[in-house]
Amino acid sequence: MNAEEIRAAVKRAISTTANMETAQIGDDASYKDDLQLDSLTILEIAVGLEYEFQIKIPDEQLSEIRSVGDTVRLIQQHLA
Amino acid sequence: MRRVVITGAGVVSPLGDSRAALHAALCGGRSAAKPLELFGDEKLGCTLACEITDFDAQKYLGGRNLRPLDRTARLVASAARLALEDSGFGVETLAREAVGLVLGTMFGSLRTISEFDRRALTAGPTYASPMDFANTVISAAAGQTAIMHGLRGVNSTVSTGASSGLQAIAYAADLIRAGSARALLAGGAEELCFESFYGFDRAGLLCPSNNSAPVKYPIPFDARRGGFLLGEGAALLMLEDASRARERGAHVLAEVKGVGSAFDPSRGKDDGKAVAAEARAARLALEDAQLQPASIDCLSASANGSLCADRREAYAIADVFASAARKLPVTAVKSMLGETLGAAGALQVVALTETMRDGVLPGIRGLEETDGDFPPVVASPQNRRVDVSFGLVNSNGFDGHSSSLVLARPSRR
Repeated sequence: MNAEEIRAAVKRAISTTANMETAQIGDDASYKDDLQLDSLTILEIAVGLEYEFQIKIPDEQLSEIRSVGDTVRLIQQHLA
Repeated sequence: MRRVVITGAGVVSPLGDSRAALHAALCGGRSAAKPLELFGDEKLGCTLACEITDFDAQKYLGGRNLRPLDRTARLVASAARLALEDSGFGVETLAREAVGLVLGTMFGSLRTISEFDRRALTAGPTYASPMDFANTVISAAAGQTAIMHGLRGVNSTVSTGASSGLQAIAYAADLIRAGSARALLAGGAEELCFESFYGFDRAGLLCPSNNSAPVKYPIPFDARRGGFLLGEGAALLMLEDASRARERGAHVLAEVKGVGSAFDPSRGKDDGKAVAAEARAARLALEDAQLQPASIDCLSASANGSLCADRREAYAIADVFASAARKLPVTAVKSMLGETLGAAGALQVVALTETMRDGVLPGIRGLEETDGDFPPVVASPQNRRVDVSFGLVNSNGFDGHSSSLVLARPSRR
């Protein structure tokens, strides 16, 4: 799976959880500054993605996710 | 002691989303019962419910992200928005006044709790939803609603089974009377969900939907009754310190004159004790209101079509009202709204404020003949003209809880 496909999945997860159009979500949007998401919403998105990709991201890595870009890179690492 | 008045109401129900719409539907004899849409299962003995089939919280709450709110929280937040509007509490008033919320609910969101467990068990604990976890606490709906509307006063969730909604109003009224709060939204909410529906269905408490059943709809106090239908909804009333409401020129719908509650530790196993608890709650409410039973002009009964619960309530009414029961018109709105559990008592209060306003007491839908197995209640399928200065609302649970509340028409000046 390439980065673009993962990015699309991340945007879909944000869109469903935070009720926003995928077109509004930039490729490297920051969760807090650009999308104004709270920590619980970010965690919900991350757990949803873990489930979708059937991966387990350690808690210390989860807490470091700040943006769409971070999330895509982290998923790529775990899929590799 | 301070007096407590009701200055507005918000309703989300299968019979409309305003107090006027609810009252019009009840007086029009409209039943909310429909085939279930929210879920279905061929194994269910009952396939009807009083569901809000067109519920869209976005209609009341605008474009906000509602994902963190489950169905119960959406019902409550929507009812709160409507109650704030109805009582004239805008953003500026809310910034000045720390309005609180006292919510009654029987199950909270059993759906969310079950969903959280289901996912953790089937996919593994790692994949359990953090957002669902936050909503597994019974106080989630009240908390989410306060966050959304900026309610900075006391935030309490009261859970006393199916009497929760009325008990929440009683608790809120006491807080205001004691001077601990000046303005509180109070009432109840319950969502329809498969998990609770299945429980009641398996317990054999719901109206059977099969063709051999004599009646498929709930008919409180009727000799042919065979159970109740589950409903859902939310109703919140704005309760205010009367002097404070007068100062701000608020329109007063009614006064909360007295409240009473009781518990039967036999939890219905002993018929006599169950009746005694219901009678005790009503007597306490009358004493609190400093009224004799004969002063009550009408009664909104808790009766929902259950064989046992309706009979007990009739005995309790006879015990409290004695000879005055022969002149006491009784209605039972659950014949049309269904048993909305935690929302029921609050919906009854809203409906009674409308009866006080226009003098029409809704009939009991489908009633043909009251059961000869218990003391007679003055019930009729037709609406009745009533002049209500004081009305009593009963709300009884399945598990020993009973609450009663005396409502007074606002004094005319």
